[in-house]
Amino acid sequence: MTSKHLNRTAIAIVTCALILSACGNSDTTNSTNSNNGASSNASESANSGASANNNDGASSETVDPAAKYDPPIEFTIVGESDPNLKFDSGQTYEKNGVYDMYEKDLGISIKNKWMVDSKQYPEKVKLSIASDDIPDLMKVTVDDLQQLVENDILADLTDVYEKYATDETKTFMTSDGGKQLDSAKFDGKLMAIPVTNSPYNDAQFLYVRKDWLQKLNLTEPKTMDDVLKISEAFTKQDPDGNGKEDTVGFVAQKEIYNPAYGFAGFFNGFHAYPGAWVKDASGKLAYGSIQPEMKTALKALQDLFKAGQLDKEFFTVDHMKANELVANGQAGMAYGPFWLTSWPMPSAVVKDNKVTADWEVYPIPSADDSPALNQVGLGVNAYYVVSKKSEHPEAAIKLLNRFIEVDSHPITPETKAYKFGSSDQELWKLNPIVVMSQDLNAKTGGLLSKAVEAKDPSSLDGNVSGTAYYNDAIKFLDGDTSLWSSWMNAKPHGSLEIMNQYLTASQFLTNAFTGAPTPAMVAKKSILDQKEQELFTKIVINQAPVDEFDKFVEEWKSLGGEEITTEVNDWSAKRGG
Amino acid sequence: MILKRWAREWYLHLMLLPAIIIVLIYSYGPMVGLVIAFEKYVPAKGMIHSKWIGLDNFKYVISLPDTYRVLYNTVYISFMKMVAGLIAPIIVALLLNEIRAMVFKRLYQTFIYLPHFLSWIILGGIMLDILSPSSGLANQLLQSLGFEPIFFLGDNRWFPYVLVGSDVWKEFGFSTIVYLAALTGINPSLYEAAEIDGANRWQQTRHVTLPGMVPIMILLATLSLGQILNAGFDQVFNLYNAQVYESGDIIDTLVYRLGLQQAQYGVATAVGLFKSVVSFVFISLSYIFAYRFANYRIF
Amino acid sequence: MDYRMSWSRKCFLAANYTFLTVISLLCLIPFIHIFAVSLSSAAAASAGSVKLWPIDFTIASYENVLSKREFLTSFGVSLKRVLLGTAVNMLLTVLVAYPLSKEVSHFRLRTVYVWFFVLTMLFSGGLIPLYMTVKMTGLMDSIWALVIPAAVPVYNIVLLLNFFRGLPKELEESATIDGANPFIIMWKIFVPLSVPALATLTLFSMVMHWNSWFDGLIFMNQPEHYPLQSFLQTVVIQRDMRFLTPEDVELLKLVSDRTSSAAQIFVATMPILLVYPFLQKYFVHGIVLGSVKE
Repeated sequence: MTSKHLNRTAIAIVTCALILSACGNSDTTNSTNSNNGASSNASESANSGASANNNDGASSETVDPAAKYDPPIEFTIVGESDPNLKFDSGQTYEKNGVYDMYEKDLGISIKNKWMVDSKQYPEKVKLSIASDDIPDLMKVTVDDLQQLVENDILADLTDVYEKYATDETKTFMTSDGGKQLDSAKFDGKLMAIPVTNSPYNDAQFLYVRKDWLQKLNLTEPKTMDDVLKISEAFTKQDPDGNGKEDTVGFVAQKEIYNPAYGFAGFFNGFHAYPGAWVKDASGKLAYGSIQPEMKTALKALQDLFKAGQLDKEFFTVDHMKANELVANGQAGMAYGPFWLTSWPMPSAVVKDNKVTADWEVYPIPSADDSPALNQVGLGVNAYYVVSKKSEHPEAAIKLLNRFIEVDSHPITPETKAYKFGSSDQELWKLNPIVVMSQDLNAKTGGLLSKAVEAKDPSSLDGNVSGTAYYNDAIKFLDGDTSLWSSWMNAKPHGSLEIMNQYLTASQFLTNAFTGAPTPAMVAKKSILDQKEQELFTKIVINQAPVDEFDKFVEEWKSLGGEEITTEVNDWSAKRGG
Repeated sequence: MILKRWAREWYLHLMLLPAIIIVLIYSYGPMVGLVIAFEKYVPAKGMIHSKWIGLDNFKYVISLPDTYRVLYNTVYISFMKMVAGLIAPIIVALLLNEIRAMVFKRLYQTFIYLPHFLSWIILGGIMLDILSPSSGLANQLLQSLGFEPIFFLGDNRWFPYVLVGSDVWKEFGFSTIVYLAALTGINPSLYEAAEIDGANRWQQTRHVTLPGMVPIMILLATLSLGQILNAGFDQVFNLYNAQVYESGDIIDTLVYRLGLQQAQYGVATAVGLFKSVVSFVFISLSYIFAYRFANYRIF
Repeated sequence: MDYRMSWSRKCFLAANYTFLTVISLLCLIPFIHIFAVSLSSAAAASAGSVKLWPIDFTIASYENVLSKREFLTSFGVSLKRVLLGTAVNMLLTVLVAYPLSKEVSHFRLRTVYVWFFVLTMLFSGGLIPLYMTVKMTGLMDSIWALVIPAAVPVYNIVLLLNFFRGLPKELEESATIDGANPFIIMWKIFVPLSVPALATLTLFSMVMHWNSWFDGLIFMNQPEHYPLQSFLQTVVIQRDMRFLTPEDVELLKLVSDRTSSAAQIFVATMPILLVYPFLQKYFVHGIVLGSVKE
């Protein structure tokens, strides 16, 4: 051990690391450190990692993942700035408490090559790639990743991940069965660290004005027919009682596939899965947007639009504008993810510390007897890549270890500075690597609502976010309306409980294609997507007849869709089905 | 003789030197990058080592079905902007010229020139607001007059005209003042002579004022001809959405999306180069026409 | 002058005043609207009910804006950029326009130079080569990246060289005979005679620099170095929602509302509105075109 100034937390990691490397050397098994809560699954992966080490040969290869660099190394990153961050006095994006922690604990001195607003981040990344000027570590999209791999400018992380990733990290990164980590592998080589997240967070919910349901004597939405009836009643029967026909069924914004105030949940209710690759009857992968179910769903939407049950101008408005319908009490239903009640709904629902409308959340109803499946993706939107020119690719893994370690345990005085400033709870965004749990919310949802109902948090012990939700929900019950969003998530029959039901009842349909874009996708997909969105929106707003859909299917196939389908199926065959 | 000439001219060369250096580095230097148009550009390999593919990028662009739509949109929008941007300020300048009360004249000028100061970033935000079909000022006015509301920014029938209208709205004040400047430059004795000949106001306008404005009209028209493929990136970029790609997508937004969002650098550069060549042809033609027919040298 | 107006002339004038007033109002309304929104309560603004008069009058959004560090720093960057950029622009405009206003008989390479400059209005290497050039010349992330690449405003040069051509030739000829060199002639004769044109072009240049946003986004590496319009683009234009994580969403709750962006927009236009009246009196004489061959 070279480091001299270890604080308590670091000692804990070092201990754990020592045990792990010991197990690697002696080939003993199942030495689990109870301090970091690692499961037996974790020790298996640690074990395989250790044996990989041994395959490399000499035992001197064994490394200490938590070793501090001395003298400190410089590690360049790029980042997204956030105008709402409030730094402690004297701190900046270049020099702040979070970076200081990494320098103190790991000897990694983080330098920003550039830092821009998140809206410009994708363009700036493209510029960096195009001018061959990338930092040691950078967060990129899957498209960028593909391009970077093809251009051969990324470090192969396979070995450093095996050697340096801790037990805890490996568990964390593969709790979904390894799908997300696999998506970063090219020809078996790990070329990036996926920004893990829960795919289940994409689940859709139906939000309904319960007070309107009651007023108009309507039943709760169980089937799509119920939904359509409610929509009609909300439009025609004057639910706000002002004597004017100024209400509509749904809140919607211009992008029909957008998770919030979009129609993803509506499509899924018809068993249509736009944008996803699904197995067809013959077992082949087919594109969801061109299946007949999609046409049925579009027709249904067009009917809603024609009947005035959608805002006449929804296809021009953004979320904030659409939210005005909620604020003004002019719409009674909306599809959205669990975070819809965090954004943008609260500003429209909670006014002057009062919850002004009684919104309830329901599972998405199905158009027939089989339950609706929630279309979800891989759950990974981005990847961290390391430059081939980087002198310390392993530093990226050390950063990852550290973040997971800090994030998975209750905050201590020693680790507080990784996440919070003295006045700002959002400083964790400055961590150079941020990954999210793959199943936390969906798992927590099962316990949370019961805990809230019983006002007993004991089942949530050690669950950081679950406890936070619980506390928020209790505070809401005590009158703090600013926590309405947490309440909607955590309450009995709230969105997280429903998410848990989805999970236990297997009501998820995972996009069957999880690879990087194929060559034909890179070349043609964006144009096809654009055409798709353009036409489907037109159908919905009745500027094109529904039968245009059939023409589009043919066009889609001939303009590259056929080629893409072949590539996707080849990919699937290579994966073994 | 030659020496004498050199002695007189070298100062002039010297004056140009700083600007020439800057232009060489920052305008001509990057033009080396135009070779990307003929390459399958791979950033890590750089411009020199990327694969040369001749005209393949151009062929690809031609094969794209959207290319023609985009080209048509660009020319259509910029042509309408040119025409409207030429006529509107002339009319307003003539009308302003009739105002004798200096206070009002000054006031009007100040107001109509104001929009010129707003960037499209800011105007984009304002227009979204004002043109909103339900709550926007424009549609409230239409409705109070008994018309159906119009989805200005979401309807392909209206979007190009919104672009033209808002561009004219933003810039006509500027051009108006340029024309006014030309008007004040007209020799007053011409008006006196016309009055003695018994010409009324309208005849004076036709025979004295308008001819006096011809040079500046030619200058502005020529400069705008060079912009025939510039339909206004800043404006379109900040106003358009997927619904109106059909009528609003222009070359510059296409280049931006190809180059930065889809990483098709070679293709994007090829489209850009095409645009430059066409603009060059147009500005050369207009320069020659102006010189030949109006006997006027622009630069 | 005949001061007795005919009936038709009166009619025309009345219509004329009405028409111009309407047009002027059309140009003013957006400013008034934004101003009204910025002075309204957040609730009224987000419900879309504010028109031309503030509802629930409050100056909270201005207090908010003026305490916002990013806004103030980028405001400072923009001021600096305008001062530096305009100074460099004007210097080079005069230095280039003067030689190019000479006839070919006095300056043989004139036409070559003219096209050398005009071509840059038409051709550009595109974004990425420019980015690399700026990087190689070491301007990245400095204020000069916003000043130097845009240092030679060809459009302004064309306007000024036309103005120079319109000045009486005799002045220069007599000075040349007196033995003054072109620098002296330019500085002592041409510049003083061109004050209106120079003032006009100064304003153009200032407006250009104040309103530019794209170069700020591309060349600046830190939010503290953004000029105002680049910063505003991040405020006014909505975020791309497709890649939103639930954690981002938490933050969106705090994102500035409509009144605050209205206030920022308004503050951002103030400097130009303040400068404008001082330069306005020159406009009418600023852009006179000479050199029309009779």
